[in-house]
Amino acid sequence: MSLLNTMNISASGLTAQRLRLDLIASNMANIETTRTEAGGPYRRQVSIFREILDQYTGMTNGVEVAAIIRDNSPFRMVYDPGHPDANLEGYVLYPNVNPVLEMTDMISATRSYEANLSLITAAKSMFLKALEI
Amino acid sequence: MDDKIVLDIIEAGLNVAELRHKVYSANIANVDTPGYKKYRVSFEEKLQEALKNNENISDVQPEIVRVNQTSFRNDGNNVDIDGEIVLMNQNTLKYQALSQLAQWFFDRYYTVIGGRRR
Amino acid sequence: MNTIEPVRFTVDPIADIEEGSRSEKSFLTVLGESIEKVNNLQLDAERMVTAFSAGEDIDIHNVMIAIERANLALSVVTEVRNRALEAYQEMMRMVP
Repeated sequence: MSLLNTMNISASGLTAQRLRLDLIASNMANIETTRTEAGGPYRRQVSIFREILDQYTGMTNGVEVAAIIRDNSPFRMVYDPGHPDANLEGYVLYPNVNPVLEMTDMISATRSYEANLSLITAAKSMFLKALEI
Repeated sequence: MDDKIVLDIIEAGLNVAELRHKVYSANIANVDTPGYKKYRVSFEEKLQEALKNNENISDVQPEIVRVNQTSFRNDGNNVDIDGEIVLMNQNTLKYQALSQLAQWFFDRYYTVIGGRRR
Repeated sequence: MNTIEPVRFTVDPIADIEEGSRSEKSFLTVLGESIEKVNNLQLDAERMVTAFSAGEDIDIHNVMIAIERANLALSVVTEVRNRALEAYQEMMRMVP
């Protein structure tokens, strides 16, 4: 397989990690969103990664985001009866987003993104070196 | 023992290095994929076996294998990102060195014949 | 620790062409065979370049090596031809 085609595998990694970072950004941005259009507080979003396999040869072909799912862990409850979104018991439901977890995830995603990038840089340098033959 | 010129060995080395880069690319792309098991390229052991048994070395082909060892991670993925990057860098240098050696091979002959390679 | 025996390389494309002195073939035959080999290498190189240009899944180092193999073989045969021509012309000068 040529180096040029192999770069596509790393490119798929970049795309997947970018999407993962976008979801983290969305989670962080909505950390205080008690009211969404669909009703209820914002629910944390998570990406599920899956290996891409060529349908004919079964050869590995990178990674893709198989699905974006909502985290089913319970919402954060804060007692605040004066809040417009408070429920009958006086509790406000806040998004199930943990900023520490999101930051950790963001660092991991960034690292993975950069790793994929270094693969592409390496492929490029190999290709250019071979041109000198 | 098959009669091979150095160039054929160099070219085989380049082919293997190329395949290895593909494997590292796949492993890094899937570093966060749950349950993913890393790939490796098997070649050098097969080559040494062939040399030992005096077989035809042009029949030795590199192949991609799956490493199914258990991982230390919760998601069942056994890719170590740092280890993989180091291996990738070593492989890249090897490819570049082999390319340089191929140049050397051709330069040698042109020294004898006269005339320029480029 | 086992040591690996160094691989011995005994075949040389250049030696092929110079083999005329050892075998029973005439110089002309050897040159003709060499030209055919050169032509095959040129065709191989062309095939690879075409495949690569058309976007086929082919490695650049294989393409470059094929090109250089063809170039080298051509240069060798050309040089042999030139030397042969020089030798012939040298001999013709000796004729009164």
